Amino acid sequence: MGPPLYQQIADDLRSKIESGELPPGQQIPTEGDLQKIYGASRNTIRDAIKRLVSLGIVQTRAGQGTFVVGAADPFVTTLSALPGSGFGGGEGATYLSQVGERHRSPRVSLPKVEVQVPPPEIGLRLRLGPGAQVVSRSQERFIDETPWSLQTSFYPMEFALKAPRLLMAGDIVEGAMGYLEEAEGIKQVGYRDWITARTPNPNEQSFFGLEHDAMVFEIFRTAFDTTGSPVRVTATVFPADRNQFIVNFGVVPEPQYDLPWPDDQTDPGQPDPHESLAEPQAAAWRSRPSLFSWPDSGDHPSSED
Amino acid sequence: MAHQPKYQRIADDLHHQIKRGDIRPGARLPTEADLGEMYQASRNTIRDAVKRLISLGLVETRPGQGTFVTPEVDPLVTTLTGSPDHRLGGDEEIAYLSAVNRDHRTPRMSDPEVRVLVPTENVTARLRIKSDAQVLSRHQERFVDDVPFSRQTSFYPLEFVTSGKAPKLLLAKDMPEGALRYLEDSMDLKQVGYRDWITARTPDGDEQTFFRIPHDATVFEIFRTGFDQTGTPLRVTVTVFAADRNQFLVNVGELPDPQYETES
Repeated sequence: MGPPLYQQIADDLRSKIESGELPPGQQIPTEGDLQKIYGASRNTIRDAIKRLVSLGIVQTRAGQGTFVVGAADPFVTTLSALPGSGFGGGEGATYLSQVGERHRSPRVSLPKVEVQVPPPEIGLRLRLGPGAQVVSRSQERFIDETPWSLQTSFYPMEFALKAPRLLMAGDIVEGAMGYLEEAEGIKQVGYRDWITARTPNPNEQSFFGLEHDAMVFEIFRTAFDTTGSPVRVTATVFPADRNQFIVNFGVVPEPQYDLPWPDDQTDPGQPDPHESLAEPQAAAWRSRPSLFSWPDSGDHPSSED
Repeated sequence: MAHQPKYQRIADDLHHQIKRGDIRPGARLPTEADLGEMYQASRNTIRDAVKRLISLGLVETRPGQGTFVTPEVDPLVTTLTGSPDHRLGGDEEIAYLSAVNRDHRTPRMSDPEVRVLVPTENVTARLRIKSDAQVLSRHQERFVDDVPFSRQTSFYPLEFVTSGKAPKLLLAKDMPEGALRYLEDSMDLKQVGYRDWITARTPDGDEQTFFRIPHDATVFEIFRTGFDQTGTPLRVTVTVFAADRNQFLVNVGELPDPQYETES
């Protein structure tokens, strides 16, 4: 017995995409047409397409159809602090410069501000009692106009009383954490990222253009001050089809060194990454992802406050 | 928002019943046909609702038996950044077991399957070897309280064994002292850092069977590259975790204990 039919169809479409028969950007046949071509049920076709979506090979755009994605080019976000960026303030700046280096342009919507009783997973992380209110600031983030992430930062309500700009739906130019340090003497000295994955809710489905059974990462970042108290929780949702993450620990070389190595350049004896990055080889490096540090909302002037 | 889709409303209703305890952990859900009648919904809508519950980890499908409310299994939380109680360069094996022990749960690990093979480009690129180079792989499966949690394969440059320096890597037996400690003792290779590369995808057929999850569930796949004193990769470990029962922590800077953030 061979693999299930949806898998065979997914494999066949994949080989057509890899051979170039279906080039990047091309719309693939509709579900109805694929049913006829493969003599398969609608559910089987849908499963095949989901498989390709989950592999990042095609992308479904709401109301338009399913399209072949260009060369694999995921967004790669470093969760651990970057060397040399220092802790707590540099992430945002590094983010911008890395995006600049890769010639990809980030865009962030203006924050939407709400006062609310937070969901339990936020209240617990902020160590708030039941019913306590928080200020939330939500932003949509894009890279090259592709929806990249949805980010909401939650602050204990008492901060807003002393730092009223947290309540305003405008960018905080010096960054929210910089503003909190200035206004209240609260300094962030560490953070914890809590990484989970789940299916997207309807709001996320429409923003990212995902099916309801697609996958998203949800990462909760809790920031702590010098007394060990949580000062902010940031929940960020990233679609899994276009995002990957890096965590560095100890002494490690630049992440580029781990990426697919052009065959003719392979030489474990004398790895010279700069050599391989030179122009002629760069073209061979099709699947090189773009690297980003996490623009910790609030640490960057022009991203979330 | 005007109206939630029907599958979502059904999923929410079942979710409620499970949370309230009307349907207890371990109990079997009504069949698709019965649910279809109860909610006056098509089979596809019921399936979507059940899929939603599966993705939330609330129910699980056992082939040939039906769909059951997941027995209460707390997710296993693995810290990716080294913890203070084990030195850097300590093995994942050790880190994993102690994280499990902290939660008073019983870990079990299969004996390693050892192979010599040509791995995927994901591995050769990270080991910085030619894409057709052979490597030594050691594969292990991990269970906690007999629930399958993860499958892990470590890849080592083949010359570690062909040079005669680290022959024990070939033995299909767990290394109690950890493979990294062994490499340090036998080859003077010390892991001074590692990089985790975190991705998520749908499971392949093997993984569906092993984790007992549907083909459109989610798995994390984490590539850990260990680097030695000279900045050369000495090992790549690929671990696949079912997303419904695994979460991960990254700690940076000064922090209190993570327990403070959880309910228990």
